[in-house]
Amino acid sequence: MNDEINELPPKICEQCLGNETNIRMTKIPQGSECKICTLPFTLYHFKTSKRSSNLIKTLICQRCATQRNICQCCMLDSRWHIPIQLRDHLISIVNEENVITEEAKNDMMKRFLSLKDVKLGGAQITSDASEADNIIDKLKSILLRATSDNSNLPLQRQKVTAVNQNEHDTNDVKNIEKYASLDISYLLKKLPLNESFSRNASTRSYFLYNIDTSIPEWKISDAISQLLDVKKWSDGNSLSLIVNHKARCGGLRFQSNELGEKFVSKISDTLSTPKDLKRGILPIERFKIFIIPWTSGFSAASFGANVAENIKLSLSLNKLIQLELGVHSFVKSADNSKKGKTKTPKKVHKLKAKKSKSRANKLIL
Amino acid sequence: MKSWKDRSAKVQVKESELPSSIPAQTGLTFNIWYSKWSQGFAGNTRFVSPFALQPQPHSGRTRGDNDDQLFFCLFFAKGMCCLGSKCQYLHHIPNEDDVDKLALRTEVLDCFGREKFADYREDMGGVGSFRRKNRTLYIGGIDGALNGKHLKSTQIESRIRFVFSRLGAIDRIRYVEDKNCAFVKFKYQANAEFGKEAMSNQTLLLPSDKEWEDRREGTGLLVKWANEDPDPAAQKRLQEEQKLESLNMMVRLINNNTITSAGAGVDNNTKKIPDRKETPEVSINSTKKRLLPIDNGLQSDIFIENLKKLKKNENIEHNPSNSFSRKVGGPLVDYPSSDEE
Repeated sequence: MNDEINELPPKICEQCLGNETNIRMTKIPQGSECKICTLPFTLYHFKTSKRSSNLIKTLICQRCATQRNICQCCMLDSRWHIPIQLRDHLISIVNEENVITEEAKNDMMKRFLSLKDVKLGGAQITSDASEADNIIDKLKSILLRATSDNSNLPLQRQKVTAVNQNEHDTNDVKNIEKYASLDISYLLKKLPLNESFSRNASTRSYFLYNIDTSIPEWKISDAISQLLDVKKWSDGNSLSLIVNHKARCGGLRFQSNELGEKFVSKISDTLSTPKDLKRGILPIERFKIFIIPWTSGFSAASFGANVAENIKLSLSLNKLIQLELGVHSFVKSADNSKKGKTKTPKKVHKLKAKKSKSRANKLIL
Repeated sequence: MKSWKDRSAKVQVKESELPSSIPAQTGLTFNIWYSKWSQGFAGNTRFVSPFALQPQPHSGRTRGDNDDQLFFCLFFAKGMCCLGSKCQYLHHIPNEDDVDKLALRTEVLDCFGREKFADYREDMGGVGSFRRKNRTLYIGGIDGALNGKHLKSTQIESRIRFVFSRLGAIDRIRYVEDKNCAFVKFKYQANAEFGKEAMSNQTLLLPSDKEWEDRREGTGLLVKWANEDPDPAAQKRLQEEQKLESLNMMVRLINNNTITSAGAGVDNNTKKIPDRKETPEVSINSTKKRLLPIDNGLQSDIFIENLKKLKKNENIEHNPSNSFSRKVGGPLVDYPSSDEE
């Protein structure tokens, strides 16, 4: 076929080709079906080194690759080496317009689209060196501005959470009405809410509350294993963690009392509640998780048997947290300053927040 | 507890004990390409796998670890690799370093090296799609996996939590009682891919249950990809994660750019030398890890740190010192900011 003689070389990025100076590449005309447009295309396959066991194949046709400015093998952007979605998202942040690579849904449309000579989504920018540099410059200026303000990003996140908070509140109000009749006193009775956190408690189990729904379990377990200096605790089963995101609380159980004691001794912050009870504080990013020892132990059922009970529990705990924080005084121990990295100086942010609001807006999509 | 790195992988099943590669006859003709029976009575093809992966005792070093293999052994995940330490694929649960290496290589292959597809299968099973980074698994068929044994919803949730938390860092687990299904979200996509293969057609019964002996009579778990969570709160979380991810990427891109502009005269080819050879040995330092696209766990504080460093870079760029311009970095090679610590 004439096509095959005039064919351009495949579009494969340096990263896929590897470090060898010479590689052997096999070409198979019409060898495979393109994953994007379903049309047949010339397949190339190769190994990065003779000994390598992984055969690297071109997965999509050259037309589709050029349209999206991606490598035919790894399908990452050929300029920046990042996934398409991420690239588009980035560009839409910078250019303040919505850039997406639209993909056709049905087969006919896929083929039709692939035969058109267009650049899709962010490819319009990354395929052109000067445009891409332009974007990078813009990115730089955005980030530098952010650095000079320094508080922009947390502010932005805080704002988002503030909005969330409002929505939480309206949700909560709805939920309070909805679950008003639900009785979870039997659950609350079993929670160690009247116990006090102390540095010399000796128990394996702990009750965690004030867990924001956006905190994934691994962040909590990472924070704990960092405190305890244990690597990969999950492999050793030295601790088990149950987080019920609906109930916004969870339980933590160590394998031994010793680990539990070690954990307690590493907690540097405590909070005194108006009732003169103490709560340990585990800081995770800008959130603070409260800890109470749980001598009676727990099971998954401790957080409610169904979603309704979970939500009701979260509401009750919310009330409790507000009470506890309402007339609060933070007791901060001396080694606080050393642990500074895990804490967000919220007040500072808020002060700066007002100054930099206009700039911050530009960063928000 | 010893880590898998200190021992060689176990042979999970002896070769002689492996079942015939031809499945029990459920049709009239056997298709040797798909290794499936077709035509005639379809019958029930669901079964409980006689093999199960036991993450702790089974994992260990294999030939793949010496050869810098990226991909995991599919048979290991299913608990039926008869090669043990002679296997050329990896025999352990995907961890952070593996995920980093995989992400550098490609996003179109799953952690077993299988090609993903543009769209999900109709039933959301199979290898999955390269268009969406899906870290959530749908767990169905719970009733069959318990052989109809009646358990309280919290007990079922605990069992699911137990089996899946051994297969990688968990983001969140939710058991939906009304639908008798569960959603397990992992920290990394590779763990979801691994967990999907490891837990498909497995039983949820424990050896202490009296039904344990009859577990093969059940139907096993159905593990599939989850659709996007329609809960508005979850969608908001997702958006925020994405935003953070792109912001990290911004910093990374600019860092690369600073390096290349400082190391003037470096042409395209040398600049793009990937550091795949370097990353395996030196476990990527934490700052750098934070900048990789796969990490969603960036803390905003660290992000600020990066920004500060970036500013420093900027200054350096104006009067490039010798040591700085000597640095020739690829897109993922250590950039100065992480060295300055």
